[in-house]
Order: sequence, then structure tokens, then C-alpha cells
Amino acid sequence: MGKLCPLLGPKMSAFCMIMSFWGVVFLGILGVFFYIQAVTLFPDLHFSDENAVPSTSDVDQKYSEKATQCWIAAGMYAVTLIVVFWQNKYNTTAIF
Amino acid sequence: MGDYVVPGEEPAEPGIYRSEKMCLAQLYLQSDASYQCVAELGELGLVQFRDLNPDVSSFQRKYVNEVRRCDEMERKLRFLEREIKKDQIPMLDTGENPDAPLPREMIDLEATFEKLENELREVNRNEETLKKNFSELTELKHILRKTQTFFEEVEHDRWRPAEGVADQTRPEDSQPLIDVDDEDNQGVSLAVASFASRLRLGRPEQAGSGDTIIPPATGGGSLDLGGEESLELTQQLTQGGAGAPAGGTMFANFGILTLILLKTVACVKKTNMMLTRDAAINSSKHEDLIAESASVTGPLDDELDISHSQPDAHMPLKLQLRFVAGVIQRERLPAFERLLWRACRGNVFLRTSEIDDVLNDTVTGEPVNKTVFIIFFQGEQLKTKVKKICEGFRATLYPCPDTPQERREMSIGVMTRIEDLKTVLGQTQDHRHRVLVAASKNVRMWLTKVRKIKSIYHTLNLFNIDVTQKCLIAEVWCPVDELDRIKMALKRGTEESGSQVPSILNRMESAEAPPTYNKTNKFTRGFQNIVDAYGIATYREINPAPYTMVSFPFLFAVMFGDMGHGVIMFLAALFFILKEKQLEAARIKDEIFQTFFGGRYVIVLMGLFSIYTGFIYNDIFLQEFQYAEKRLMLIPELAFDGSPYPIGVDPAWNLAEANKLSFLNSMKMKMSVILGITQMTFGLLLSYKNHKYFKSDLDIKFMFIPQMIFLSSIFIYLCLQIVAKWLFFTAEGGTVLGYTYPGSSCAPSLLVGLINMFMIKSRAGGFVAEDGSTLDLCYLNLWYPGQSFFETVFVLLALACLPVMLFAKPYMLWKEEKQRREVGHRQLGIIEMILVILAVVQVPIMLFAKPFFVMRRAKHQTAYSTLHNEFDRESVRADMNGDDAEVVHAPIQAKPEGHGHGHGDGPLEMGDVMVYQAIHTIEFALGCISHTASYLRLWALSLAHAQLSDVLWTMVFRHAFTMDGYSGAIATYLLFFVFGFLSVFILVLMEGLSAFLHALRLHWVEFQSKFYGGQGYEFLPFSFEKILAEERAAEERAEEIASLQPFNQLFVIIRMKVSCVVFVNSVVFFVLLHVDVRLQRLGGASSSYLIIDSP
Repeated sequence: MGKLCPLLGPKMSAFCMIMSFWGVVFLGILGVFFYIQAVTLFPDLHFSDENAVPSTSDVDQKYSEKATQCWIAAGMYAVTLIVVFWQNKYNTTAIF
Repeated sequence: MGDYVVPGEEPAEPGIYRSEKMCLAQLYLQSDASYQCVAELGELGLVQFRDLNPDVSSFQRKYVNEVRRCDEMERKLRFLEREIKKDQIPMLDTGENPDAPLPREMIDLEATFEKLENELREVNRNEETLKKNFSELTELKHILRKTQTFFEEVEHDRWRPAEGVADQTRPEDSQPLIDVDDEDNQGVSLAVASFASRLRLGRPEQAGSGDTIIPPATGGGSLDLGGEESLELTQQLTQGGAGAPAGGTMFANFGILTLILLKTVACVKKTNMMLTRDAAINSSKHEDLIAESASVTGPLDDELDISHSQPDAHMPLKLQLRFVAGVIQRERLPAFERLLWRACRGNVFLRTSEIDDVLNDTVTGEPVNKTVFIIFFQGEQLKTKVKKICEGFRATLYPCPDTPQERREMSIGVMTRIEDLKTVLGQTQDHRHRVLVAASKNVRMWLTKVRKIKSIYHTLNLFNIDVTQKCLIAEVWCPVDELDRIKMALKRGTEESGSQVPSILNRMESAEAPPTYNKTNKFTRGFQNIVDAYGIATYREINPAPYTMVSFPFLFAVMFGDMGHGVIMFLAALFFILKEKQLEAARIKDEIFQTFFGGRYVIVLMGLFSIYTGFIYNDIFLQEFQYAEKRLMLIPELAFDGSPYPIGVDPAWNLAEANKLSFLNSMKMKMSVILGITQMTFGLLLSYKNHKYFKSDLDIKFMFIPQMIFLSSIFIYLCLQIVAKWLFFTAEGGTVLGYTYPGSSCAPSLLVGLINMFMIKSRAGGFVAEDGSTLDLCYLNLWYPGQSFFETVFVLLALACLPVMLFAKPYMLWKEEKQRREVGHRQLGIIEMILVILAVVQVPIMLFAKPFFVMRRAKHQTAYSTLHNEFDRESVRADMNGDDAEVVHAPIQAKPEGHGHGHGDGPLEMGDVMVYQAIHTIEFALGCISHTASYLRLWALSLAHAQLSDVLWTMVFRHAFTMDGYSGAIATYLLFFVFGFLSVFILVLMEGLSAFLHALRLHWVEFQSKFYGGQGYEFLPFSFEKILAEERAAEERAEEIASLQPFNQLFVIIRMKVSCVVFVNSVVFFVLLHVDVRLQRLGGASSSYLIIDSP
């Protein structure tokens, strides 16, 4: 089978595959934690200076926003995973 | 640990708990059956042979010839293998394990290999010759083709000079050069060359145009021609050159040359016809003249008549102009050119043309680029010079006919011969390929067989030969449990060899310490290796490996506690374990990979334990997680809502920026002290098992018990205090242990308490004064009734233990010794006295008697040396290869000293015992303190790991959350990659490595020093499996080195890798220091120094 758009070598694509799989899982879970408003993640919320003492609704809104942000990033990693998987599948010559 | 007596029979214990019970046995093997028996034992791999002829050199042993034959066979096989690899034929390596062949099979094998090798060598030789012929012919073909183009070019070029100087036409008969002196001729020709080049190329020199004209370096040093003269000559020549075009058709081939040798121009035209004829007259006189002067000074007609008559096939017959054609390696060309120019003073003309095809070197078969050259010159002397130079540059010269017809004919001849050769070569290669393919199926198996035979003969060389030569005697160490299997193997061996007399195995008693043999499987091997790396266990002492299997990953995890990193580690190791077979088969040679792969079971446990501790610490990638409701208050007294967090560290602490670390530090520090003291106590208990096993009452009574008391009265007491403090002293006040406790500010300080305990300082009890006010420094006060009494008792007890540990055992030994002496010599006091005096008298005798006698004997010997020298040796060493009657003394092996300072064997050396005891006591007493401190590394590393992860999170990943919307998502996407990458390489790999090393140290130094002797030596059974694996590894290493050698850059890369690691390490260290500073600022005790080193 001919190489289809070979961008990554076998090792690189394997590495990227692991990283993006990890990204999907990690960011997915992180998003869940933001969604349930885990208190540990509170320091990670960023409020603008004029809003130094945020109200509860601000905090809630920020939490859900960050959760979405994480899930979007996770989705991007899912796409990356597919691309890299395709690269790995079609562009590796038989190693063993 | 010292005094182990050799144990008697005792109940069997599971294999991993102690090393296998070993015994020394003698094997009597019939000489016919010995080979088969050893082969069977090799397959079994359970016996270690002892060398019974240690003082016989390896060349004098009985089976040295066989070993040599095997070496020879191995060499042949390696040769075969190399050839197979060269042809890139895949070798069949099924990894099957053929039985060791019978001795008679060895002859067959030898014959086969001999035949194969000879055949191969012959084929190779033929092939080489053919290839050489082939390449010569190819080169000749190229020469013919290229020279053809040279000559053809000339045809085209010869008119160009005429155009260039058209207006300067002069009568062609004017011969300005005729009068030139001999000496000047060289200059002339040079000048001509310069002119010619200008004419042809339009500029003085043009390198790289394919046909280079030797540059006319007038300042070249080799010329004795003055500049002015040269100039003049050039001018003359220029004019003369104008006549050249009229030179006639014979110049078709030598157009350029005619320009160079313009001085001949005039006559050339006239003698045109003469030259083309075959002139046979040869006058040596003239020839010499021409050679010397390389020019035309006399009547040209005359000379031309004769000069071409040189009967040399390589040489053209025209004029005095000759040429040689040949082939040279492209790299040598510039040097060749320069030398030609210098040596011939510019009197030769060189043209080159690169061969476009890549030719193969005949010997090495490597591709080489070559260039065809043709050199024109005149005269005999130059010819020799040129030839010498060609020889020096390893250029091959080929005959090249001078007429186009001849060249064409020759060309055709060459082509046909090349075709023929190709056929023959193809057949030869086919044959070779067939031979190699046939061999490739067997070569690995043969190699295995030969190696087996060789190892068997090696082993047989260790044997003793009986007087009658009918049987061989071997001494072996073998595990007692496996004696049956060994006997069975011997029986099988005897049966296979068809011998009637059975082989005999005879157990022997020996005072020598047997080797240590721990049975392992692939799971336990990693841990056993960790233990063995420190020292092989003394025979039959407790093997720490089973405990290490639990405590090692656990201590590692305490330092590495992080769920996320643990999962990564676990998954990586799990991958290794699941793909075990494939990865082993892939035979990846990378050393780092091998290390991880070898320790996969250790790593998988480390990962699992890290997940557990991470869960307890509530860390996941240091984003301590939780799902409880928000708690924003940080002060424990106020924040505690009555229901403690169910398991592990309460994640609420993560929000307590100010006092989170103080809490975690105190918690982890106490935890590491408890863990450490638990492990040390456990080690001490194991030492009891050891003492008991070796039936050393003295050690139990005067070592173990005082040590235990010492440890418990100080350190176990400390642990109890820690637990009590955790249990009773809460955030709220109340009545604790009979005292009124106002609140957490009065919780007792244990560290200061410990110091006060040693100083036996009187302190007030309780925390509040009678009027209810809280006392100053209430945390330093006594906190339970009777504390001062107990502590005094404990300290005194511990102190009392010291002299017991120090003196009791030596004293008991001394007393015992004395008693024994007294029993023997109660009545012999006087004799003893006399003996002492005698002993004193001995001193001068010892000093002087021997030198005196030696001197006398030396004199004596010089007189009678011929008479006596044969009787000087007392024992006759066996001549193993000879047929003479032989006397063989079974050599008495030097018995190594029994370990420790045993009772009974030999006189008691009080000094030694005392020193040993003193060292041991000091080591233990100080060790208890320093080791406890050393366990604080558990806390320090765990803290460092947590802080480093925290830094990574806040400095890298958190930035992703400062942005909103889609840019935030993209930032998350990118930063996660960075975060993940750094997590794996810095946190998991590097931190993991450092935690691994610290866990290793804790086991080796802190744990094993309590009970482990580690003075044994390893059991190295004779096993084919092992030998083959070793040979294979050696082979691969050799290959690797061979393949590395040309790539020195690789070493550079490796060195760079190392320096990178060092760099990253120092960065990490720097960060750790920062963390440390931060801690100090926060009021936490600084203890990162413990990471670097501690007692």
C-alpha cells in the first residue's frame, strides 16, 4: 500500500497517539471535575481584576465555561488521535 | 551477624525464604560415559563443577584438543555466517535447542564444515578472479569509449586555434623553435601548453571542464627558464602556432597535442605520410636522444622516421608522442595530476573523464568511483616516469590501440568477453547462493551444537582423571533437593552412551561454605537482583527478597505518591508484561530499554503502589482531587465540621495556601519515622531468625536482646508517642490523659521532647497553671502522668545496653576459650611456662635459621644440581596427554576461612573479636539514630515530588485557564501537550528514577544492615541455556561494536544525551532547592538536603 500523505514516522505517530489518547482521557475527566465544581480547581479559575471578589453566580459560570473549554480541547485531541492513528496505520512499513 | 555455625539438618523451608541447601558431591563417571553425562547435566543446569586441576594450565589439560577443534568449527561457522549475512540471506533461527551431539557426530560435523568452508572459499576465489577480470574489462571498455571521445573532440577542436590567430598567419615552414637549446625546451613546451589552453578554452586555465590542461606554472620552480625568455618564446610560439592548422589530417587524433608541441609543426606536415606508414626501423641512438631531450633539436625528419618504432603495444606509434591510458580512483586524481605536473615538469598532457557508472572494488566489493585518464608525453624517460607515477597511484594502465579501426575491433572483443564473463559470473554466484541458502537453514543449529560440545569439553577439563584412566572424577556443588533429578540425568547419560558401569554420585562432607542458590522465577528475579546487587547472601541466611517485594515498591510509592504518574508507570510496565514474548523476540538492544524491560515486574508493582499512595495523598497529577462541598476556611479548629474525611488526606488542605505545607510536612515526617522504625525493627527481628537458625545463643542473648531493648526504649517509644499524639491531641481543648488541654497550641512537641528525654531534664507537668491560664511553652511540658519516670528508665536502659552489646559477647567467648584450655592443661602449668620460654627462644631461630640453611643449600645445590634437581618436587603432576603411568594427587583445595569469628575453629583472637564487636555496636547505636533520620527522605522526596508537580501545574497548565472561549480551548490543547510531555519525562522518569534510588538505598543500608551478612558467593551452575545465552549476547555485542565503529558520531550523540540528563538533573535540583527555600519561608523545617545525602 502506498504511503498516504506521510507526515509522521512510525515512532512519532505512536508517541502522538499515546499523547492524544491521554489528552482525551485527561481533559475529559478534568472537564468533569470543573463541571462538578471541584474545590481544588478553584485556584485555576481566573477572574479579571475589577472582579476580585466574585459572586457565586460568577464562579458557577466560570466553572462551566472552563468545563466546556476542557471538553473542546479533549475533542480536538480526539480529532488528533484519529489523524495520528490514520498516519500510523497507513504510513508504517512493517517493522517486525 | 558474625557467628554462624554450619547448620545441621533442619526442617525444609520454602525456597525463597532461604537459599537452597547445597551439598558437595563427587561424581565418578566412566570415561566413555562422561561426555553424555555432562551433556545431560548441562541440559539440567543444576550443578556447579569445581576445578580439580587449578594448577594445570589450560594447554595441558586432557581435552584441550577437542576444545581446539570446537574453536576451529566455531570459526568456520562464523565465517559461514558472515558470508550468509553478506549475501543477505535470512538465517533460519527457530531458537530450537538440539541435544548435544555425540562425540562421534563431531567428526561428521567437522567434515561437513570443512567441506562447506572449502567449497565456499573456492567459489569465493573464483568469483574474485572473475570479478577482477570483469572489472578490468569494464574499465577497458570505458577507456576505449572515453578515449574515443577524446580523439573525436580533437577532430572538432583543431580548427579553433586557427580562427583565433587567423590574422597572424606566418609561413608554416618558419621554425622558430628549432634553434632552441635543450635546456630551454621544457620551458618551451610549457609556454606552448599555456598558449594551447588559452586557445582552446578562451582563458588560461579551466579546471573541472573534464579535460584539464596542466597549468603552465611558470613560477613552478622546476623550470630554469628565465621569465623574459619564456615570454619571448611564447610570442614566437604564438606566431608559430598559426601554422598549425595546416598540419594535415594526421592530427585528427592529436589536435591539441600538436598545439602543445608546436616546434614539430613544420616537419609534421611533411612527414605526414611517413608516420602513417608502419615504420620499422629503430635506431636506439636516436631514441635515447629523444628521450633525453624530449624535444626536437636535430633534423626533424630524421627523428620522426625512427621515433615511432617503439615496439610497445601500449604506445601509439606516432611521432615521438606517446600516450598511456588507464583508470584511477577519482579521489586520487588531483594528487595524481599535481605529481605528474611536478615530476614531469609540465611536459605531459593529461586528460581525464569520469566514468559515470559506479564500479565495484574487486576485493572489498564496495562501490568506487573511477576516472579514465590519458596521458600524452614524449620520450622514453618521461614514459618510465609516468608509468612509475601511475603505479604509485595504483592506477591501472590498459593498452589502447591508436587507430580507430583497432579500437573498434578491440571494443567489440571486449564486449563479447564481458558478456561471457557475465554468464560465468552469474553461474558462480548462483552456486554460491545455493550453497549459502542450504547452509543458512542449519547454521544457527550447528552453532548451538558446537557451543554445547565445546562447553562439555571445557567442563571435562575440570575433571580429575583416575589412576587407571577408566573413570573421571568430578566435584560438584548441587542443591540437595535436586539430587534425584541429577541422579536421573546421570543414569540417562550412562544409558545413552551404552556403558555398563553406572555413574556414581557420592555426597561429601565439606567445611567449605557452599554457594548461595536462590531459585527465582521471572517475577521474583527482579527483586532478587536488587538484593544480590548489594551482596550475595551468606549461605542459608534469610533472603531479604520476599520482604523487598512488598516494602520496596511501597517505600518507592511513599516518595512517588501520585495517582496519575502511578497509572502511567503501571500502564507502561503492563504493556511490557503483556507483550513480553514479542519484545523478547524482537531483541531490542537498547540498554535503557533493557533496564526497564528487565525490571517490568518491579515497575508494575511500583506503579500500583503509587496509585494507592496517590489515592491516600489525594493527588492526581498533583491536582489533588475531591468531590466534597466547598470548604474555604483554613483554620482546623474552625473548619472541622465533626466528620473527618473518610480516607487519606483531606483535600480541603489544598485550599489552605498558608498552612497546607505545615500540615503535610508534619504528617509526612511522622509517617516516615513510623515507617522507617517499623522496617528497622522488622529487620532486627529477622536477625533473630538468623541467629536462631545458625544456633548462635550468644548472638541472641548478647546481641539481639540488647539491640532490641535499645531500639524500643528510644525509637519505638517515639513511634508510640507519635500515635498517641495523633489520637489524643485534637484541635479542640479538653482533658487529655489527666491534664487540662487548652488547644492545639499546646500539643506536645515530640522532637524537643526527645531531646529533653536524653538530657533527663525536669519539666513541669500539664499545660495550664492552677489559675487556669495557659503556661508559657506549654508544648514542651510533660503530657502524661509518669512521663518523666518512664523516660528516665528508658534512657538508662538504652545506655545500659551499650556496654552489653560491646563487651558481653567477647567476654563470653574469651571465657569459653579459657575454660577449654583449662580442661586440657590444668595440670600442665609448668609445661605451659616452658612452652612459653621455648616460644620466645624460637624467635631468633625463626629469624636466622632459615636464611642460614638456605644459604648453605644454595651452595650445596650449585655443586650437585644435576644430581638432585629431579627429586626436588615431591608430587608428580599428571601429564594428561601422555601415555605414561600417571600419579594424580587430588589437590586439597585451600579451605577458605569460615565466616565470622567462630567458636571452636582455631584459636580465639581476642583483638579481632573486640574490634568487630566495637564496630558493630557503634554502627548499630549510631545507625539507629542516623537511619531514622535517613528515613526522613521518604518525606523529603514525597514533598519534592508534590512541589515539582505543583510547579508544573501552576506554571504551565494553569495559563490555559486564564484565557476564555475558543482561544482558551486551543491554549488548553497546546499546553496540555507540553504539560504531558514534561510530566512523563521529568516527573515520571527522572523523579521515578530518583525515588527508585532512594528506595534502593533504604533497603540496602537501612533495612539489610540489620540482619543481612551478604558474604556468600553465587551458585553458577553448568547450564547450556546460560552458556548459549551468554555466547549470543557476546555475539550481539561484538556486532554492535562493529557496527558502531564507523559511526563515531553516535558516541557523540550518546555523550550529548548524558550531558542532557545531567543538565536536566541540575535543573531539577535547582527547583528542589527553591522548594526548600519556600518551605523555610513557610516555617517548615528544611530537609531537602536529605535528598542529596544523609548519614
